[in-house]
Amino acid sequence: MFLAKINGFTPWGNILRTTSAEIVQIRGRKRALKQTLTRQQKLDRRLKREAKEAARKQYTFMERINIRRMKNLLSPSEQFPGRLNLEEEAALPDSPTTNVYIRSTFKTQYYSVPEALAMHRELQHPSIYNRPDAPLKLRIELNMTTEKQTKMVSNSDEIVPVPYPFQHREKRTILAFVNDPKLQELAVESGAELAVGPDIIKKVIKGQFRMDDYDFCVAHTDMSSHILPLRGLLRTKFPTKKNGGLGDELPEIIERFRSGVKLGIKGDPVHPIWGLSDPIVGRLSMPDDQIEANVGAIIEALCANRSAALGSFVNRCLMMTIPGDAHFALDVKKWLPIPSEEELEKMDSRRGGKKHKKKEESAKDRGDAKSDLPVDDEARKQAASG
Amino acid sequence: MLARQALQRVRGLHRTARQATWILQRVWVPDPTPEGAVQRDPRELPNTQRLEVVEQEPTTPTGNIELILMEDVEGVGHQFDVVMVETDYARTELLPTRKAVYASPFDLKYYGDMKEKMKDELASRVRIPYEYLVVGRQLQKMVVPIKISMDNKWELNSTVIKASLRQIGVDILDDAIYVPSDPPITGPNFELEAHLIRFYIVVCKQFVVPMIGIIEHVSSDASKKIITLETSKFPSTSELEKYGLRPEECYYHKKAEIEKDFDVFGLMKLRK
Repeated sequence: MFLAKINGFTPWGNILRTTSAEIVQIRGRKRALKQTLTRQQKLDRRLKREAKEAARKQYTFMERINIRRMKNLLSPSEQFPGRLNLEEEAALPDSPTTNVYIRSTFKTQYYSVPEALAMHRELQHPSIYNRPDAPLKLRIELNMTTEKQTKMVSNSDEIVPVPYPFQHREKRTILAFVNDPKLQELAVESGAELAVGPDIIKKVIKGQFRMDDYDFCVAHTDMSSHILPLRGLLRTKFPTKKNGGLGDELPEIIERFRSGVKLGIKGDPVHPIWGLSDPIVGRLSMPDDQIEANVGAIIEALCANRSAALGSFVNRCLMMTIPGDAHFALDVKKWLPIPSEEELEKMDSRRGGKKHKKKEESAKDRGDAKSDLPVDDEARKQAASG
Repeated sequence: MLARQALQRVRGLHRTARQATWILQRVWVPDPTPEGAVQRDPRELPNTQRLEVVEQEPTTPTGNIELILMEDVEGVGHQFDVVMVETDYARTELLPTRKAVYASPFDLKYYGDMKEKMKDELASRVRIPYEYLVVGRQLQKMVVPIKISMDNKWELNSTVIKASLRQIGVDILDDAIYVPSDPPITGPNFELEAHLIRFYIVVCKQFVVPMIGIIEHVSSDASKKIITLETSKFPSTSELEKYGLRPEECYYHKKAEIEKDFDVFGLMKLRK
């Protein structure tokens, strides 16, 4: 009793405090349980529950953990070796003044293909990493913006025929659409996984035939009208004259698809205006001029995916080996398309409409002549001078 | 350009002690005093004492100022040079320490004459170009992991070291690496693993930078890997002695004449 008085309150004081006198409110919940559910409500609830369970089952436990981890990671463009940002290195000097220099203290140095190859060969020499036949990869950083602000260059996979084919050791399954049974045999002989006629096309449309198993589709000209309904299903895989999948000489087409380089454009999920493409261009043991020709063909094919008037599609092109961390920026300016006057004008008018006119007017009001230039053009000029 | 970065760094240090200029104007402008009358006391009305800020100096770049250097200042210039320096840097660093004086007409003439008089002495001074010094300092901090094969025969030569240097971000445009060749280091020799090795890089055929490399056997086969201690720290003198090395300083040769057949190892040995 004496002790309690010292502390300032009696032992019963605790009971009277609000923390020990919590009233548990359970009336409302009970009432809700008694309420009868209509059949419709029950059905809704069941559907909701099932959808929730399905969403949970979509990924395994490990996958879910990985996805959560991925969210904290850097975007693919920012992962090693990163993306070139011209603004970041604007303050650095252009080129080294001494014969020995620290790379990070100067702007990115661009090399020709033979120079980059020579450096890779030094590193892959038998006395170091000993991979004289390593596959060569380009890591191309892309600018994915289009004339519409909300639309980006779409992801795609295509096959680029290269002047000097090489062993890429990729598995490619090709589906051939041919009407004539004799030609069907020929197509399978020349390397197609399966050759199908018009009857299968109906099945494809119904969904009874899975197209996901095939990487590429080719078609004989006699099927050109039959495959038209598949355009929506196949999207970029749809064989056309333009992508080289449609023609009369099937063995030739199939050979091109088997030996060509797979060129994929992948948008960055975190920063939609960035993209990546990493085609394999050859092997280190090939002669320099052959690799250079391959690189040229691939970059030209890549740049066809975006209008040249928007500015350079390629932000930076690195040459790397697989595996390996060494990377050298390539000078690809000579392969980039130069927009014609017409294209530039067209782009201006397409971008514009009312907004553009308004902008022009406001620019005139301000007496600012520079704002007429599209942003990308300025960036390209900077890149050209740098 | 490097000099400029150094300047910016120095400027950052002195940010707290810098002077600031404020340009103010009256909020309420009183009528001008009529001719012949006595001016009113400015303390008479509170309004006449109210001022507003027109401009504060840090919003505008301070610009450059012309100075005459009193001694060699790294990254800025040599003694008696007339240089343009950022005003901030001049006021906080060069002028208070008497490393430079204002380029007044009198001083320009005075120190110009002095420079003329001391011409021979100034010319005889050894002055290492600032770029060389900067590169040399950065290089000397490094311990270069020299990657060589654990499967194939190799001999340590400049190409191998060039490739290793490239991997840690040092590019060399010509053949400026000098590797111990007497006797040549060969392998694969796992006793050499993690050995420290001395080699030299010559900047612009003139500035010899002693470097330290550590041998690292590598293989393209991922299952073969030698685990060694991480060497993030620069080795101490006692650690260097284990491998028969000693700490060395950079050396600036008078003429740019160090070619491939120049005996750099002999030269650096003599400097002991």
